[in-house]
Amino acid sequence: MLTMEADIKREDAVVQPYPPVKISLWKKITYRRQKWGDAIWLAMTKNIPFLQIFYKTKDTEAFVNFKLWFMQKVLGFNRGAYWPMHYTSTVIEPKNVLVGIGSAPGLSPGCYIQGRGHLYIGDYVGIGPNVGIMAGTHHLHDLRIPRNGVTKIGNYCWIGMNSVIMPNIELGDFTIVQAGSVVKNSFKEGYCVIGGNPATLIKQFPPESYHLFERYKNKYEYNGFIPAHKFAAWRKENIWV
Amino acid sequence: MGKDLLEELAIIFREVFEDETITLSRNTTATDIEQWDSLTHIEMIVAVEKHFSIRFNSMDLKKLENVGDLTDMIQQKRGA
Repeated sequence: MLTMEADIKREDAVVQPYPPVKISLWKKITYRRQKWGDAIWLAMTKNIPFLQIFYKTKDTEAFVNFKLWFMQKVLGFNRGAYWPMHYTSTVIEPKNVLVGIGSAPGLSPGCYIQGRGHLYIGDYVGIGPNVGIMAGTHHLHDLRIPRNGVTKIGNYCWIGMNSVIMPNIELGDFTIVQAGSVVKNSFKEGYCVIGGNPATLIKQFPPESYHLFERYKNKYEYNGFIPAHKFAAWRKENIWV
Repeated sequence: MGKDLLEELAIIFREVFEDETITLSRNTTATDIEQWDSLTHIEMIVAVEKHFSIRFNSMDLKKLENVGDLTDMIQQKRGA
């Protein structure tokens, strides 16, 4: 009897298809235009060498898309940054920021990335909107005097929306920062979930479980706009970390 | 064979999720057990690994949909 009831319920839960809607000719034309436009853009970015960055970073966390590229490189919002950034984000002293493969601090809107000192960001770090990451601070009594610091964020970290990473913090690999938390202490071991204000340890995963975390890799590896294999040489000439 | 495995798993699940009323079937998913979230999932997998002395990797975890898949995978790993 129970199974019968469950079956009936499941049948009811099947989503009915939408009623037929009349699509105007104009909509049909725009839809086709968009479809063809997308196909042409895809073919272009796949085959033309200097456009290939759009294709190769297409489905990654640190994607470069035409709109954001235009805003950054042509209109000049955050032009100094060597990784893709949203035009509502801010970066201070981008030459002090080291960005790993597949991560882009400030690609989400409203971020504040401050590199007074050294700011190291690892590979494949996911950073949400409105996140503040700081490397340096200022003098204790005189706010006009900046003080350099070092902040490190490990590989495969997630940083939730509205979090703040305070200066001189080190987060290990696979640290998950809950949304809205203020990180004031270092968590060097990693493999943990932290959250709150000030951020406290919510869950520490045991060493037996380390092999269960997935270390995914992108097919095409890029540090910002620079291919990963050229990055070591590029870094010596162009940035300060 | 399959039933015994489910019973063994149920004992582990009761320990990890701290709920004595848990009963498992092949169609049980994470939505059926309240305490089963992403954090306790890792704990549960570690407990299963210890109990059966096998080792999963992250690609295996991606394929799991329900308890039936888990039992199949355990049998596969034990057989291999």
